Amino acid sequence: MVLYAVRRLLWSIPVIIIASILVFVAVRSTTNPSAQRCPTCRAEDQQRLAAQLHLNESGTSQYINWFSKFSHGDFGKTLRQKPVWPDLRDAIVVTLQLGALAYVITIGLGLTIGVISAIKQYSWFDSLSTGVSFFGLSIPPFFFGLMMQIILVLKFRDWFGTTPFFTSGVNNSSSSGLGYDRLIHLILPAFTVAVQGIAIYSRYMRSSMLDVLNSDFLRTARAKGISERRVIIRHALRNALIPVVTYSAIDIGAVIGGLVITEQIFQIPGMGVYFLQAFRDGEYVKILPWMMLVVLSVILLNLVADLMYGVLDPRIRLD
Amino acid sequence: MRRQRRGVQLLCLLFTFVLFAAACSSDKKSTGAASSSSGPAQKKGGTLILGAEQWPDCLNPITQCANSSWMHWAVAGHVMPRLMELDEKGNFVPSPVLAGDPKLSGEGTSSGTGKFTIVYDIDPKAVWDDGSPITADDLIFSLDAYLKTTGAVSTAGYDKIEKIDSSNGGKTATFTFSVPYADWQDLFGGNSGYFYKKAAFAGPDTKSDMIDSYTFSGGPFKLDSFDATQATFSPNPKYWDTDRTPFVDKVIFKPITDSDTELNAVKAGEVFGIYPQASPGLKDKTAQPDLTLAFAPGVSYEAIYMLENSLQNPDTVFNDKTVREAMMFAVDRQAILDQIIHPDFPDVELLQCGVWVPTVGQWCDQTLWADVKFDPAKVKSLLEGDGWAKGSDGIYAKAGKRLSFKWTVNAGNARREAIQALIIPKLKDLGIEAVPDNTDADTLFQTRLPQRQLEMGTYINTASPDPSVTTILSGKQIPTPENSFSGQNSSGWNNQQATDLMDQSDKTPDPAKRLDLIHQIGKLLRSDAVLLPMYQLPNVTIVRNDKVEGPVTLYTPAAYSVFGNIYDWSLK
Repeated sequence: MVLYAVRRLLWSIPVIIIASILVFVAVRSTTNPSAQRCPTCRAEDQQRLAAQLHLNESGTSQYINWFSKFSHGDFGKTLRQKPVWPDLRDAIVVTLQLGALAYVITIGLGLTIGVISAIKQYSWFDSLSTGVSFFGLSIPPFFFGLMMQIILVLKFRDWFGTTPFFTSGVNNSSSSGLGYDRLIHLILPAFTVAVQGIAIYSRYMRSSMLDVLNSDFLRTARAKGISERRVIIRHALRNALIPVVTYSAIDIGAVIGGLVITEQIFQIPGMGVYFLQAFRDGEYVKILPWMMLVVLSVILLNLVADLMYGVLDPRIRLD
Repeated sequence: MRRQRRGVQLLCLLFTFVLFAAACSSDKKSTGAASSSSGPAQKKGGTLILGAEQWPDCLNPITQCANSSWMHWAVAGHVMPRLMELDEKGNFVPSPVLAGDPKLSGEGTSSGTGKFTIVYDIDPKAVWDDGSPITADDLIFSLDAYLKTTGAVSTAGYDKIEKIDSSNGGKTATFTFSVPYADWQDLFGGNSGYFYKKAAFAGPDTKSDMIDSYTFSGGPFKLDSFDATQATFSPNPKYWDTDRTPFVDKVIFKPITDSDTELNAVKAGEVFGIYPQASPGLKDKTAQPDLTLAFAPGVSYEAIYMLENSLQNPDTVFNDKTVREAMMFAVDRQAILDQIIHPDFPDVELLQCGVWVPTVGQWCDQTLWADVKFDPAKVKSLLEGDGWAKGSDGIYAKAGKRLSFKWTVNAGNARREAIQALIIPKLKDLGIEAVPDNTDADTLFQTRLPQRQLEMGTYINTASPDPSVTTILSGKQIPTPENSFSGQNSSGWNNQQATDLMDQSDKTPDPAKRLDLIHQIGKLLRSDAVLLPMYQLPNVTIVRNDKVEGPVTLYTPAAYSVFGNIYDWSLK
């Protein structure tokens, strides 16, 4: 397995280089840093700025300059002379907090609902969860987020005089850092991120579980007199989880993308807000490492998914 | 009876004395008779929490950080000192830094050529937050900083200053310009200029300074912290102008960049005031008793621009002046106002003066577009008189060219898309084909507009207190591939006479002479039918009336945003 992992990592190098070129071309062709929204800028000011910020250099020269620094861990400075890494690091931390909470909710609720639906197939719970899943799948996150704000903040306050939830931000004005305050601020955005995931995973888990529940080895286990609870938890669940776990590892990359909208709605200063602001400001220097980190995380998580497949299913050998 | 009258006289005298004493009191904050509109004395202390619709990435007012209006509105404007400032009506007035009006002298003051000098007297009481005096040396340093900072966003005007002399123990600064400069009030002040404390910097290249903090203050507040989640301020204890001593102990600005969330946050009481953009349905969405909603004509105006020599279509029909003139009478501005704008903002009027607005300065000539009304007969006579004839498809054509063009707005902007939906069928009835070619806002404003990749566009521009339109309309400021798309004249209007007038106006400090030049430029703009002005967009303020009091909506129309006077806001 170690050899497999090393081989996969080595294969990642050309993938990363090709991805960096594609990312650079895409970002540079869609951002226009020299034409900032600057109502007071004269043509001569813009030309001076372009020269001072090396924006007139050829694309190849800009790419080589950027990638050589990036590959050495130097993320550079923005066009506004602000170091890129500290802000990006802070945004990653916030996104990881939100992503982790959303992920726990997604997996926790999604899998639980899926398992119960499968065990109690065609029951009222199964019918209800199926209906709610389709609702969750079809509701856009931006709409769901705003509904959460209206119901759990504004209406809740009207009904009960106060509410524990917030429309925006990661902390109260008087506090900072982790803790209850951060957690309660992240609850609504985390549910907004999770709602589609819960729907997907519950359906996925239900289907996977039904496959396993009807398999021969479970019938054998029951015939041996093993309790139903043990049959489900020890035998059925473990096998049903294999495809779900692999999918969930790959899905973490998609979660980062999905956070863009939610972070914007709830004003969470994570990678989504970072990306949107950088794009609006024409700060390609900020967007490039952002995109490369997403690329790297997807590559890495794909590898993790493959490795976990081997761990969970002894029939698979990663040689 | 007589004794009674004397008693009344004594009471009147006493009352007059009390009134006189109160009026002469130098510290409005200590008497409690603040400029509050609410009557009773305003409470001191507490934390004022406000929402910001956009959030600056960095804070250096010299570099590209200054491109963010919210950097000025939410941060720099409360901390940095200015020389001349704008009052709530958009008039230039001396800031508290100055002991009086600056004195202009030299031949250039009235003639447009020759020597041009300004003398500023700095208030002897004016100090930085550490108590050190504000002097002419700070202005000399600031000039150096504007000119020598790598990535300085604009050196306009600063590059015309030959020297600044210090006298009177540093409390008098004499500016000598190489040429007359009409927009002198925007230097170190005005819309987005400030000056800086010399002792706080290692050298004049400030590119690495003021990124996310200010280590000094010359305004009513000090910046205590700034990050991606909030900016916090406390009163500057050394601020000398007692009229601007803040009531609150702390101010917090929080970014809330999603417009729906911003409304929800103020409705939930998480923030006490916001300054959102005017949008359809705002009145209904904020209809609750603890919210005060205020509108005022803003500094932004919306117009339809017809691009000459468009780079999207170099053979555009808008190269033909007659077509542009016909469009003036083919677009039903009144219908746009009645059906799209008035349901939410009934006080908005048609803008008749092009790129100036009636509420900012004296520059707007409301007669310029006054003759422009929806007039199908005039459209017909203009086009047919120029050789255009309707084809079998009902669209005019001339020499094989159909009167068809693409009309671009930023996709998702409900107001502009509604305008297109209203106007395009009407144009078709007149034999003019407009094809929507909408694109997302970032692509439109970052790429297509700066590179003139559209034929006709609808977007807003901002009227500055200084009437100069050189950057947006001069023939020298047209972005082209040859100049790497530098310049802001996206309309492509290239009228040499107008360009010369703009240059002359920029060198004419005398307001009366300048007014004449500006009106001449306006007439050329109208006669060349470069754009069709529609209306001023209203500024909007929403405040929690159960949380804050004072003159909280006074600055709604102001260039500094409604938050320009938060030193006068207090908590209930």
